[in-house]
Amino acid sequence: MFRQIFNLRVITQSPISRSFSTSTITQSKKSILKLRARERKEINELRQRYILEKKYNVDPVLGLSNNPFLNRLDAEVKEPNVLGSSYDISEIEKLIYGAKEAKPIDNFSKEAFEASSQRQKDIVLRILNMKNRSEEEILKYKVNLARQEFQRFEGDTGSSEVQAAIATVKIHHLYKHVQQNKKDFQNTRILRMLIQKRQRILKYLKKDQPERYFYTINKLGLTDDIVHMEFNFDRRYMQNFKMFGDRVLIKESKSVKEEERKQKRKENKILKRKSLKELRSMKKSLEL
Amino acid sequence: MARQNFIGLVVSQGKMNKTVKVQVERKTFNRIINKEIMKRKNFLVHDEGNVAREGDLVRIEACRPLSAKKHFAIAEIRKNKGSQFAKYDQIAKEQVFLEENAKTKEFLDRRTKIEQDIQNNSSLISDLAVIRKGVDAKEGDLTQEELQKISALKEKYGIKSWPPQSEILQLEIQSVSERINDLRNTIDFVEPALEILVKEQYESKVNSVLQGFSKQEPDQLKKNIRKNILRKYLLTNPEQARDQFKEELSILN
Repeated sequence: MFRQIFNLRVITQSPISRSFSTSTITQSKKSILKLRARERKEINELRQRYILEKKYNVDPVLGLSNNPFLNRLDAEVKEPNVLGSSYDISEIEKLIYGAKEAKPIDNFSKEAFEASSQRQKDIVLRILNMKNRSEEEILKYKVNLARQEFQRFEGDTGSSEVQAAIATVKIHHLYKHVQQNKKDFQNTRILRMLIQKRQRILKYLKKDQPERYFYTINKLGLTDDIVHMEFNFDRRYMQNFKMFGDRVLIKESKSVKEEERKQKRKENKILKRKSLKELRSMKKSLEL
Repeated sequence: MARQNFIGLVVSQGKMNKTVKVQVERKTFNRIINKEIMKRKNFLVHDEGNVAREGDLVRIEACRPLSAKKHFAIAEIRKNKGSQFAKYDQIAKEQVFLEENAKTKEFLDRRTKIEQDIQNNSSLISDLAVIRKGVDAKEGDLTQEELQKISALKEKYGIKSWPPQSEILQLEIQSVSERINDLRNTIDFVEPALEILVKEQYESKVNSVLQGFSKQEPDQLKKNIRKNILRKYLLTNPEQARDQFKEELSILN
């Protein structure tokens, strides 16, 4: 009983006994300056973050999207005159002509034969078309084309830029496969090794022949930062660059999530200011 | 007193206006481990004109304090490796852009041409049929256009009379066996011919023939090199060689 009363007394008494503390005018000025300095710092930090993010916003595996060189390679394979087993259309003509020669027909104008030869040609072309060939053969064709564009001299297969170009073609090929078969861990590992090998080759090329290096990375749609960054083809990458769509691959802990949310709130608060048009446009360009 | 002077590497540029970060390395002696170790220190350095790039080697010089953390300015750029790289990058970008445009255009042209070819359905057999038709038809039956087409086709395949005397198309197997025969003949011919031509009595004639084939004058060449060049000549131009050295090689036949 006594205790309760005592408690009550304490509660009721405390606000009365506390005196208001007021800081002097000079101190409040200082705190305002501090606040402004903190704001300035936050804005600067955000700007630096955007600059860094822009640097590493490029996909380290596939490079910049819509690369004209790789698009052209894809289109080359789909041409109707490109045949598997390194056959040529003129060779098909020879083949059919040879078949005709073997037959004892001595009349070129026989319409029936002409029609049938046309049909034969169509059939052979359809069979040999790249659509019906294995992935392996398509890759081989592409690799050869890439090699020819980067070679230093006729028949060059070993120079660094050729190696890098071939690795890039293979990476794009394997990437598609891994995307479709996400449990193929063996090939995922091979892809990982290929990516790092390409980095190694390009780093060497930069030391060896900087001019050729810049030509190569620009043609393959890579950037200098991608080549020199520490990169592992891991789940974090797959999630960030949406390799398997919006699938969540890494479960963040509560504290990390909370931290992220906090940062986002802070960011939004800063971006609302009218004077920070530049930062807003930076963020927009990042999201594209 | 002389101003403080350091040589360092630009490690960060483009983040602050007119300011770069320069890393200076120096050796200090550590008494505990009895060894020299590298120590690094970063300076914020004034760069009026924003000329330095990441990767440049620069000499920095002390100056009056320019801001809270800036007491140095760039005095000279020793090695402009970073600027050079930036330039290479710029050049490469333009080059790749032009090259890709040209290559894409070439590819699209090729595609339209192939499409036309497939539409026209031109093949060896149909072409031969057209020529045959021209031979069979009476005079005056054919239009000017058709005649022109036939003559163009005849020229293309090298046909002079009908039915064609020579083979129109070298069928793969036959031509390969012929080529192998040719090669075998040449190889059989080269070694014994070489043995004869190396002899001193034919030296002047061989030299005159080899005049254009070596960088030096043939008579100044070493013996083995001259022999190699002669072998190469015999391998590449067997027919010509047979003609030129008819008398010398008459023993062979």
